[in-house]
Amino acid sequence: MLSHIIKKEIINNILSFRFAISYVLLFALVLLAVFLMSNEYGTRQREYASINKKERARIDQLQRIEDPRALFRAISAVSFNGLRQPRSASILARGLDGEIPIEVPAYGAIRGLSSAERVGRNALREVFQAPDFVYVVNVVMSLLALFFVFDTICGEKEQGTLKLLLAHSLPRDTVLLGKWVGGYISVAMPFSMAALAGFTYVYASGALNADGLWRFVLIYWLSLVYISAFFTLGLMISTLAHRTSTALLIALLVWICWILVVPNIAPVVARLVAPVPSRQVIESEKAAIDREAQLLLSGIQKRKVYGDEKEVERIRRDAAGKMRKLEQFYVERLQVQIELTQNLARLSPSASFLFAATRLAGTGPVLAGYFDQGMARYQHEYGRFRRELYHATIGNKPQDGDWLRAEDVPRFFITLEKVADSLDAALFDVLLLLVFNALFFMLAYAFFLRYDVT
Amino acid sequence: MLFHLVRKELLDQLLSLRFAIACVLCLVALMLSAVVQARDYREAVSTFNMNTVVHRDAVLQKDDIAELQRGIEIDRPPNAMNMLVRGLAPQLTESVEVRGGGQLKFVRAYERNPVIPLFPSVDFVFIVGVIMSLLALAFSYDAVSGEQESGVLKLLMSYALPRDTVILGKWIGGYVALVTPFLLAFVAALTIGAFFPEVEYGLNEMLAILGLLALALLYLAAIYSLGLLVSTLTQLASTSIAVLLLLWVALILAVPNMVIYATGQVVRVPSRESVDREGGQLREEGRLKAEAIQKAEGASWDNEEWSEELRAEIAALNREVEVAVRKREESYLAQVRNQSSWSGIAARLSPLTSFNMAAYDIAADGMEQERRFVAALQGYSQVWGAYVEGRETAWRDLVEHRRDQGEQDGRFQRALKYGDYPRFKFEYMSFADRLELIWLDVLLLLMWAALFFMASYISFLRYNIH
Repeated sequence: MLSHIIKKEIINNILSFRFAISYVLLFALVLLAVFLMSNEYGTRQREYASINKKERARIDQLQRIEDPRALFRAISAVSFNGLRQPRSASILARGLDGEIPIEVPAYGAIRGLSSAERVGRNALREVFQAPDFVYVVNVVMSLLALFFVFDTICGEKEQGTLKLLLAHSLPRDTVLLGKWVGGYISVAMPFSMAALAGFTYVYASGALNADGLWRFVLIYWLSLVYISAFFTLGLMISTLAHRTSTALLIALLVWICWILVVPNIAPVVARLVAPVPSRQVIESEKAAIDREAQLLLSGIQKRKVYGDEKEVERIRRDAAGKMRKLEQFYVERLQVQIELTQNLARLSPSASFLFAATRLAGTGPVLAGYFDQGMARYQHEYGRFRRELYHATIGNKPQDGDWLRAEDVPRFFITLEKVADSLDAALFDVLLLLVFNALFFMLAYAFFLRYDVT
Repeated sequence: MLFHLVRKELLDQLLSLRFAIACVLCLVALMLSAVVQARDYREAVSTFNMNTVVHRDAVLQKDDIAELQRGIEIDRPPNAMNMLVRGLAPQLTESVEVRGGGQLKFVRAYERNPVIPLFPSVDFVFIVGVIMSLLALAFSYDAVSGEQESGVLKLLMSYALPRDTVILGKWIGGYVALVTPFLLAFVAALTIGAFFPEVEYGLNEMLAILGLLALALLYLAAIYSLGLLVSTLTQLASTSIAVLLLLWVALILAVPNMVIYATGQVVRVPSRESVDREGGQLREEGRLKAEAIQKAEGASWDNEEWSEELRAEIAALNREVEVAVRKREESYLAQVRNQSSWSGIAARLSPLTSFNMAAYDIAADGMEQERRFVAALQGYSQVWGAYVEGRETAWRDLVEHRRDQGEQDGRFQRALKYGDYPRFKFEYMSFADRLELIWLDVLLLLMWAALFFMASYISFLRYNIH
């Protein structure tokens, strides 16, 4: 019996106007998203490779300098900035990959922008979100899933077919399950076709390596879970309403709230509940501590000609300790805020999906942490490289050996999690989505049992 | 007669569920965003006030001429329009390091909370552009096809009513029902701003707020007319909503960002990093050339026996290199401008782009305002450079003078104070300037509204009522 209901539901959906529309729309959007983003990634990757090559060529050129004095001068003049390689999985979910700086200085903070950089940017890109695969699923697919299912119960009631159907000896749970399975298949099928087309394109063009392809597959499965959450939600709305127009409006309202409002309000609420002092305030407090220390030091210098070594040392240590404490305070508060933001945003399945998908793609909030680690490591290694270079040149006859070796020059890289680790980390959000699924289905079941079919 | 039609349409809408939803949604979204933006603005104002004092004191406490050359920190005053529009400036207020000769250094603002960039910020522009546009479609999708289904249209047309009056009445009634909750929520949002004493509107801002409101109404009119058009093209309300959702997803969610990325692949621009590298390479080549010249002349860095000619030659070489670097930089900027303008033209296929861009410009937080800010800073940098130079000569004169009088040098530089340094004054664009920037977008939106309404009129004239 179940199979009959499923079959009827699928055929019903496939023959409908909206199926044709969503099929075309999905195919076009998913393919376009994958095509545009992989081309864009290709451009970034080529740029990165060419700069990297130039950098290596520059080191080779340095190695070829014969005159030791000229070499030392040349090395002092150049600085080796680290370059961040773009993430290939950013084709699927751009996440923070476009947000985080590309170039990392060998020492000190990330340098400021020149006026040309400030004015010379394509501002339109900042206004709209990047159209990647995850964006299409997150925004478009959720809407389509709701749109497919909003009238599945109340629409049949309006037409009178529901009454007819239930006149047969059919338990209501079978009807609901049949509707869910049939409807979900007719939503997931066009999506799977479109995803397959995108996968084929990425595979054929070689934009993603084996690791990236695995990530694509995982994100695809995740998308299915996410779509099913919205589909089940739509089913629930349909069992709540008695008219299709009401169901449609409620579905649209829920969609707006969950996709557009809740995730965006979460950071705001988190900022209200767990405020973090702005970076500027921290910096100016640090500057104040520094000024105070300088005043004390100059006071000592005035009193004694050579100053008091111990006291100077103590003042310096105190100031450094205060600054460290301040920084620690800031980092802790920020961490609290970040976690609160994430947890609040998870009230919407859209945020859970986004967190899980960006985690799988390696471009989520965790990328910011890896970037900071990578930068610290690079600067540390670069400092050691400079020191070794310095020691090697002192007292050594530079002609004696090649003390500048190309492979010694440190490279900047960001840790890329293994697929299994990413999946592990994303599991919480996946579970949350599954919970949403189960909850909506149970509610839909409960409502449908009490549904007035006449 | 038109009056009756409008009244009927209005009453119909007021009693419907969607009107209640629109009321709640508008009020909640606009007021929440107003609270948030007002708090952000308040924080920006206090940061700005603190920073200006700190940076002024930093100059006043300087007592060494060398310190002046290290530059001055300039603060951008926050823009009161940020209450409604979170524009293109990276931060609400910022400190910029300015030195003589047009050297500026902006802080690279990147969000410390990495969750925030994952979601777009909810401001007035986002609420109107995305949420309200969907509501506008929900108000108009069944204006004609719904009445056709319920049979009311047949009854209506059996009276001696011209069809143009009917469609006009429907348009006015539905549109008024759509914008009433919006206007109420807008007023409520502005009232929230009044609770924050930091938010002060000058004449410019008042006019800009009115302009922003007019812009939003125009945009909503265009989208509402689109809904009416599709409604007159279809016989079933369900078909009409399916088509409209497809159009909405395409026009609002897909076209703007996809077109921008597609244009970026046709009109290419080298990355910022590679341009920087090229500049570095040009400088490196210049340095090597200079070394070659020195070698040829037999001079080295160590001995000071440089001839005047050699000095002049090397200075000329340096100038040449700088000119080449600047040329490369300018050509890069021109390329970026070219790309931006092409993607802007292509993305205006969607009314959302027109609305967004016009809203940023009228709030004085668009790209033009960024350019003006940088230009103002560069102008100030010249003034500052001249001031530093003047103080330097004054200092040198002072040293000479005291030395003539037989005093020891070294101590008296502390006698110099820099309280008379030139102050940076910055004003956001005047309202007339802002209007000049947006008229094209306003025309585009007007055109969309007129086009959709006329098309719906024509298709309603041919509508098969049964």
